[in-house]
Amino acid sequence: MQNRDERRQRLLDAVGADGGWPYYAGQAGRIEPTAWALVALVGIGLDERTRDRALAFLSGLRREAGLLVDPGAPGANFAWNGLALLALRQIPHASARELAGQLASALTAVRGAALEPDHTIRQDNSLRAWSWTPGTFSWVEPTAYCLLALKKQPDRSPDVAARIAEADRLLIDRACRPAGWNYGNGAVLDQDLRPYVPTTALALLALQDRRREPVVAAGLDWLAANAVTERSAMALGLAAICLTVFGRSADNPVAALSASEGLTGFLGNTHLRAMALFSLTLSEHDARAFRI
Amino acid sequence: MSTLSRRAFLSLPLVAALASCRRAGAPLSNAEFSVASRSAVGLFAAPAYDADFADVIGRGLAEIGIDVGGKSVLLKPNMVEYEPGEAINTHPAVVAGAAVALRRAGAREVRVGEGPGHRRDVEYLLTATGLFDYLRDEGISFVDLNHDDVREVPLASWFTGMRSLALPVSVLSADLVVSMPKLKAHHWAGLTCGMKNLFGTVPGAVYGWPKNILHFHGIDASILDLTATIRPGLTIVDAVVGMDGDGPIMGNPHPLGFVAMGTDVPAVDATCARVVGIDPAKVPYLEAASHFLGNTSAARIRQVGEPVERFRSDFALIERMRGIRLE
Repeated sequence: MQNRDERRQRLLDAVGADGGWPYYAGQAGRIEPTAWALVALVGIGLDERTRDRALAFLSGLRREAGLLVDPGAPGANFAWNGLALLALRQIPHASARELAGQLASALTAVRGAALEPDHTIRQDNSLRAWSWTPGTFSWVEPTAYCLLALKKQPDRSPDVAARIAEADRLLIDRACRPAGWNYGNGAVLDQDLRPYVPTTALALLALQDRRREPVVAAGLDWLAANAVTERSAMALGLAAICLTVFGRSADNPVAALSASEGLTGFLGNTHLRAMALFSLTLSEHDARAFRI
Repeated sequence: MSTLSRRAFLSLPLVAALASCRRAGAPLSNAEFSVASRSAVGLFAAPAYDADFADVIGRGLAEIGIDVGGKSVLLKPNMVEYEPGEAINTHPAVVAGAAVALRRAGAREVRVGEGPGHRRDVEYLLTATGLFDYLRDEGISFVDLNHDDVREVPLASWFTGMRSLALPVSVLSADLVVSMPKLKAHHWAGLTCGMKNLFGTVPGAVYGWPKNILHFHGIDASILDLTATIRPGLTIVDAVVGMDGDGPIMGNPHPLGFVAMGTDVPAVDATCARVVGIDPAKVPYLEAASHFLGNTSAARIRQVGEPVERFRSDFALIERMRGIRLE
């Protein structure tokens, strides 16, 4: 089992020659692992050289409309752009602020495709938030990342406020019965879909300012009861972050996360290692990156 | 062997209808498509998951006559979701058995790659399904296709209207891609087997989960475009216990007791369909595939191993899929 400094060093060692972090060693840098690495390292101390190289890497991924596009990908993934915006907001540096401003504008301008009413799917299809990719439907994860990132914006224009309000309604509408969130719908073909830990944690983080909503209260109780049922860095890490933000104990997922590291090594996946580092150092930064 | 021109292809009524729903123009690229005069499909008994799958699949490789010597092989199982006791995923014993059999047959390298199409938490899926332990015990490496490096490649057919997709480098660079599906009913496509299993090659880190771009462009069309582009050279189906009803996730386990194998993926899928009482000619993507990707007519399939009748057991089908029943 590694200690905090070993985990930190291992993450620093995983940075690529391009200044970004890849998902796996030897690959090209990508947005998601780079954003998670920045979030994790900023929380416990990030050196200027690593920061500047990472910011240059992200800036180099800017494409049309100011969105970031992964190497080799044909277009933007809105979830990772929302996550990158969250990471950039943690970095007190002019180039980070500039890039964050562009990303915020770009994410405010994009939205999931419209859906026709469909009696086989129990949901309000008129609601639109964020899809994974351009031209497709809105899903929980990209909506949660983008919504949370926009909610952390200090000043909200009417456009941003409208996007936030509609995305709030979409996440509330997509909740499973009786509690939690699946990836997208709460039910299909009259079958209720089951909630998952990572998606529930992300949806709750995005709705942390709507604690009086019944689906938020129910989701939080469900998450607290199921926080260690999915043994992985992603599930345990996001559960720990979410419970911490909501003022609940994260001791169980943190302990399970530490134990699972020895079992799988998180598959050697950099973004999972970064998630784990952030979640195992919550006492140092109090999950600031994910608080509104 | 018959080769189909694009003009001849478009004269076929169902295919033309599918294509007309998409952008104007021929649905096939300039890639060479040819269908063998006959295709071998093997059905091999495997009553339960404690069978010696390396032996079963090793015999199958010999009977269908495929040479894997010196090749780098990527096994692509179906791992989409985990529910204890449910028949959702290709069983890890079948995956590990295939890896051992291919190594014994002379493959230079065997890796297992999957990009779960529903749940993105691959660490959880690997450990919960038990595949992580099987791979570790056999010293087999795993490629996370959702997070692999990607390269945008032209599609070999254009039923979706898309001309290209970013695909994992590990899929594009393998000498032999082996589709290893679980045989299941599918509530949108009718049947999920070797062709539909290729949805898991589409990288989630690029397109999201559950690979929404494919659903958006049409499931049948996406199945055809992916199969035409990736061209798996071998299909090994886990039909020891399949899933019927509201598959591919919420259906019921349906014991069948066999492994199906073949180099012609539509032929394997069509044979499995007949075993479970589904008419391949009524499954749109299989019917379309029969015109350019492989054989689906029983008359053009050379059965090896056991006959279809030995394992014949009709899947329960949801109401909207009852029209595909074999009569």
